[in-house]
Amino acid sequence: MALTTARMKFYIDAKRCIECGGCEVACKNENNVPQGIARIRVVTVNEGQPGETNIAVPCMHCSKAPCVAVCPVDALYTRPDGIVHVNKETCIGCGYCLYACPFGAPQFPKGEPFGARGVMDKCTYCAGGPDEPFSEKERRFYGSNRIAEGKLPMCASVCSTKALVAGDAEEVAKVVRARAVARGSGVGAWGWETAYPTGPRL
Amino acid sequence: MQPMEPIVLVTSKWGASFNIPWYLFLGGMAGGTLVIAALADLLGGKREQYQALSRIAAYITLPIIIVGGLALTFHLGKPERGILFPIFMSNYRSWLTIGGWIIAAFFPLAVAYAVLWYFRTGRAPRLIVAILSIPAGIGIALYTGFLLSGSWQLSGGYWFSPLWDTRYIPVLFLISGLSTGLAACGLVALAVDHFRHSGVVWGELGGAGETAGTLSLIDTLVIIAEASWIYLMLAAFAAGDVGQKLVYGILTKGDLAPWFWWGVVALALALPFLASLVEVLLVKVLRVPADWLLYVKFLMVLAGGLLLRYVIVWGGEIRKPLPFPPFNVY
Amino acid sequence: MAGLAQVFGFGAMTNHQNDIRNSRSVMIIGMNPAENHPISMQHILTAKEVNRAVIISVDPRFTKTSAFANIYCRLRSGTDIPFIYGLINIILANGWEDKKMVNERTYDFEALKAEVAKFDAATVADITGVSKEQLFQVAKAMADNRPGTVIWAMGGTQHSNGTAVVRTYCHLQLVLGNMGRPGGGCDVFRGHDSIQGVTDIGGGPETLPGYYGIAETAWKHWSKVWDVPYEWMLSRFKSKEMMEKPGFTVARWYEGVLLDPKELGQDTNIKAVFFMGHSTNSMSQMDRVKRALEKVELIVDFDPFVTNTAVLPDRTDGIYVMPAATNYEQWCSSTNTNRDLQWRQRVVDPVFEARTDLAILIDLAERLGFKKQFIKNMKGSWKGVPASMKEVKALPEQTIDDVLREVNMGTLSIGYIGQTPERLKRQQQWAHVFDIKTKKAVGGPVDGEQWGLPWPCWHDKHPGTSILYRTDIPVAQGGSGFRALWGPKAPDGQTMLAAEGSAPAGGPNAGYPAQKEYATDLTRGAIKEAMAEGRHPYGNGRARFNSWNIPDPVPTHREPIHSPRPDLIAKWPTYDDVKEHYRVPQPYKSMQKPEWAKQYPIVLTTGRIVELEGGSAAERADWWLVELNPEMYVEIHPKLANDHGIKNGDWVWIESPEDMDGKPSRIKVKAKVTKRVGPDTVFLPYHWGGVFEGKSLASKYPEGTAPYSVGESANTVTNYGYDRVTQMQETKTGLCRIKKA
Ligand SMILES: Nc1nc2c(c(=O)[nH]1)N[C@H]1C(S)=C(S)[C@@H](COP(=O)(O)OP(=O)(O)OC[C@H]3O[C@@H](n4cnc5c(=O)[nH]c(N)nc54)[C@H](O)[C@@H]3O)O[C@H]1N2
Ligand SMILES: Nc1nc2c(c(=O)[nH]1)N[C@H]1C(S)=C(S)[C@@H](COP(=O)(O)OP(=O)(O)OC[C@H]3O[C@@H](n4cnc5c(=O)[nH]c(N)nc54)[C@H](O)[C@@H]3O)O[C@H]1N2
Ligand code: SF4
Ligand code: SF4
Ligand code: SF4
Ligand code: SF4
Ligand code: SF4
Ligand SMILES: [Mo]
Repeated sequence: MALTTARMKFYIDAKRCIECGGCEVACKNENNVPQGIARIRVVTVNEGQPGETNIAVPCMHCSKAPCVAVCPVDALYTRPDGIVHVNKETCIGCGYCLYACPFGAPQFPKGEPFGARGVMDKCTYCAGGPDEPFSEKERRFYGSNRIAEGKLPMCASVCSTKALVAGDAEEVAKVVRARAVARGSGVGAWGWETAYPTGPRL
Repeated sequence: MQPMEPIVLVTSKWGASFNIPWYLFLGGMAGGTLVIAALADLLGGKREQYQALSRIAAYITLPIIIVGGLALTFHLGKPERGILFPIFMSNYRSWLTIGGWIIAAFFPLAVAYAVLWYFRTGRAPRLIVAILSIPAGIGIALYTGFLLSGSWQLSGGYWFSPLWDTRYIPVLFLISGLSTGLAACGLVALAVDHFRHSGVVWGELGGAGETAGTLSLIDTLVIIAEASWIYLMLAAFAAGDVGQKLVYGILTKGDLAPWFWWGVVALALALPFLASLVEVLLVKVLRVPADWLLYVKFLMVLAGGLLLRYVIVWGGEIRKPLPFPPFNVY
Repeated sequence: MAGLAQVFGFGAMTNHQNDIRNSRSVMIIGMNPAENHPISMQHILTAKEVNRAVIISVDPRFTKTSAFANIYCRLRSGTDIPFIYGLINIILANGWEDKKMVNERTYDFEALKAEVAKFDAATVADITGVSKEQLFQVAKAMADNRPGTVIWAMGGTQHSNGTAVVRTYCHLQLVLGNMGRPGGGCDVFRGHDSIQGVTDIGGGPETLPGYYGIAETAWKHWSKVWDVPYEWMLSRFKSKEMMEKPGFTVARWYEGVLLDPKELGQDTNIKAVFFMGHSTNSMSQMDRVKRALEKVELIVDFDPFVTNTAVLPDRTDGIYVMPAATNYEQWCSSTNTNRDLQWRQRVVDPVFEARTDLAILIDLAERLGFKKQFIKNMKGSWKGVPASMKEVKALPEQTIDDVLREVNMGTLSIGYIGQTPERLKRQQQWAHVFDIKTKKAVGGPVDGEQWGLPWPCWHDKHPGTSILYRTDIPVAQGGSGFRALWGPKAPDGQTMLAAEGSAPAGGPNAGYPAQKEYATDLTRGAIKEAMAEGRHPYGNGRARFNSWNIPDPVPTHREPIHSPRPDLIAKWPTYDDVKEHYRVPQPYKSMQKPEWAKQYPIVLTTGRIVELEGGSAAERADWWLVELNPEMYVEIHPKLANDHGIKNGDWVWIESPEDMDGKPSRIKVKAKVTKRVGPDTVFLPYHWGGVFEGKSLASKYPEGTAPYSVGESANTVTNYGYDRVTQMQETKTGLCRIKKA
């Protein structure tokens, strides 16, 4: 795996997630995420009924990310490895990215209606932020930088059923293919086409 | 096949506080009033036939855009960075950036117009400002719509908020901006007329009241246009894809239905229209003065315009469902 | 556990979790792994995806696990036996049984046949609520898709007849021929970390380590291992009789405090309790627990967190809270549900004043005057440790090695021999060479070993036994027959040894009794002898459909003590009262009052949620977990809620005939309206504590130790009821009524 061509992706397998919440808790713990902010959260539909399905939604680090397109101050940007970062020192907290994002990934600290509500926070793919890797500032603003340590994102590492798979696009695609073959049909890759569209975008 | 379910992933940011709906409302209205000021000026000819109306429109544009701008600024998580937008805003594909510059162009024009009227500096400079004001006014009203739907356009045909459809929302906001602008001018004109005897300034604005009836009639035409546009939009949604159908359902039958039917359809459209008819009947046929009815109508248009923004902002949280892959029995 | 042991000879999961990857059908009955054993879902879902295995979920609730099932059966809580017998009935009627397994490796199939005949599909549907069609569908799916596994946990065992329920699960697997094969088995998923190890090491009050029991021979064996004279051991007890009499269990110890000694199996009351990693909100009959805690003279709560125990009793003195070190602060070996042993590294020294469990136990022995005997086997490593334990927080790693070596030396009965500290540590370093499906190492110095050296592991070259009762491989590779535990002949004269043609490969191809003295011969000569001949040390016997030595030799249905069906109580009543069981009286029939069904018409069941564990002293003190699940609640079906005018999020009172005299107890909790439960049942998670009958006890926590979330304990309203054999509490089936608060 040549580092230059690595392209990070998430695979959310809607047929495997058991809503154990491990990813959520591990993320918060790893990145010391403030209260009320969930960089990844599990959504359940049809709870308690046939067809009950769970999906864990982090930031998908979309190719051609819509949030990057709309951010007025270019606080959002895509790294060469596909990870979408926010620069918390330029973000003006307008919330525009939240409306562009199909996954509702951007998070904002809760505050009073009049006061400043601070800047946007979202999943960093556990890759820190624009600051010096492993610096105190990076840790404080963005949390850990596991990618720089050569580790996978925390949420995917702890996933009890491997419903959440992270890593280089090619490796992830292998898992997707293997599951598709095993199941005969339906890879359960929720949001995949939206985050990583095959066709060009406008 | 798993039935598609809407998954509301967004936890409200814009809808939860009043800043954004008020900004969209005030911004659109300011656009409307400035256009009215310019048109009244231009159509008034050399005799400055509609000078009272033009003045009123120009004067009220200022506070409206100021309050609106403050609302916009203070919805930001970091207002201090937002105010310095020319330094910070670098992404010219973003409607927020474009909007920043539209406001930046609009505001001096609005100030200039008011100042020119106030000091009566002769017609020529005012006409230049007037001609510039028309695109600026239309621009700001349209922009409030693009701000919402632009997230769609910019993200490359991705349509996550089906309600925020670029084909409908900007024009809708433009029409509504005109309608509310007319109502605001009419309201102020009536009020001024009410107090016309009380001083020099009022004197200069004298006769404004007579225009109120005309403004009301024009507004009624605009309201018909607005109603038709909303109808077109809903018809398209009703026949559209899953996301649009979902929006249609929530708007007409779901959680937003009371707001939509009472707030938008009744307050902004149907009741003002009715009020107009009754007013014409009273004044023209029965020859009874009916200023009070105009007050009521204008107030309803304003309230309806505001609620329209709320409904549209709230409705933006309805996301097009990301389909689940088909469920097969293994 | 007792149920399994009574059928096969050992009380342990027969296969392992990874082995579910080999299954073609998976029946999950009375268990909710998606919440309680999340990692196991990886294996279950892999079986579903790769083998197209049929997943069957049998549970009164449509759980998170049921969401992944191909077939979901909603059964009334407490009716597993009719359900299983209904299945066996259909299997027999269609000739789907495995005749070879039944004929050659089981005892008294006729007795089972006679019993299951009573459970035709209509009867089963009436009792359980599972339709005829669905019952047939399940039977056919299990028959068509072999090998299949049956997995269960507390939904099967927390009943007054739990041991009988478990035996019927085992019977189903015998009939289907799913025993002793990869992908099959009786896979009970054990609860706590190393709870299998605790059971193996004699955690129960009726046995010494290794299931030797507490008769004189057992004491003599262990005295020899511990290197102390039997007479000295005997002298520590009041009498030989008391030495050989099972003690109280964790389920009902408080009766030893509350009842008149005349009613007890000993002549004094209990005067002190020492909690070592246990929270009182997990015990049913909280009101009685509370009273007992108020009456005892001394309470010690040795735990990393301040538990419910410290705040429950209304008393101001006599409670000592001592900080325990966690598993991160000590070395140890642990035995998981697969019978796998793993070495665990210490991550940090015990922080603050925390001390490890072993340090505390040795200190206690020192103060009680028998430290010398207690630590006798902790030889070489003991040198560095000071003469007195009073200041010692933790022991060096070699001490823990020595503890395991002592286990290796003495626990011959179940083959805890080959799991030496050296081998466990080596496996820890070579974890990456083990195959995920077979748990077998490929290459490296551990080549051929099973991960965790699951017991029985007969010597330090033995690979361990991942799958019990497997006859297709030699004993040296982990093969075995059913344990010949009950001698060569049953009381009715039939043989208890396996038939010819059903023995572990490579040895004598017939049944044979256990090697003489293999469990007590510390030289291990007996074991070596058996192994040399390819025989399994514990013999090659038959599994039992008829366990003649325990109540209900062939399991039959008995309604829960608190049953919502008076008509069925009449037909399938509970047991007769028992005068003494684990030193306390244990009434059954006199506690089963049909009229309660009228006063308390709703079935009450309890269980777990993924975010919290047990009494949850730790989890409710963790902000992230509390954020995910902040409050105690009750699951109510929309119909039941509407009938009571209850909306989602409303406060409700749950009332039940909790106490033995029928005095109602009540708790106030939030309603969670959901279709997970049926309209006749409500479900309570049992993890909360710190609120008692509407009154918060939060202020009673020592300053700064109150958890983020306190709530009513489900066990304030769980009903009286205990298993006839193990005394497991009947916390899965009770009765209650609800009221809007
Ligand atoms: N209503 C109802 N009641 C039930 C059940 C049910 O389903 N319904 N289930 C029952 C079952 S199966 C069980 S197993 C019990 C479980 O009930 P408990 O045994 O009470 O379970 P935990 O709360 O996990 O107890 C473990 C305690 O040990 C502490 N601890 C952790 N590590 C260490 C350590 O290294 N040393 C020491 N000394 N302490 C430590 C923890 O802080 C915690 O307080 O509940 C039973 N009660
Ligand atoms: N997150 C988490 N995991 C845990 C624990 C924890 O506290 N929290 N505890 C651990 C421990 S100690 C244990 S013992 C295990 C227990 O693991 P489980 O046995 O899976 O736990 P429960 O949730 O108590 O009960 C399982 C299911 O039994 C169902 N049930 C109730 N009555 C009946 C019945 O009559 N028949 C049948 N077939 N089903 C019935 C309940 O609806 C419930 O869904 O979990 C372990 N894992
Ligand atoms: S998921 Fe949302 S926030 Fe993340 S890259 Fe895609 S659009 Fe941006
Ligand atoms: S909230 Fe921050 S990151 Fe998001 S669009 Fe606005 S400035 Fe950009
Ligand atoms: S990748 Fe890291 S930051 Fe993103 S959700 Fe997972 S754990 Fe959280
Ligand atoms: S850890 Fe995995 S299984 Fe658990 S909630 Fe997250 S994605 Fe789902
Ligand atoms: S909590 Fe621990 S023991 Fe339980 S499933 Fe998760 S990793 Fe395994
Ligand atoms: Mo347990």
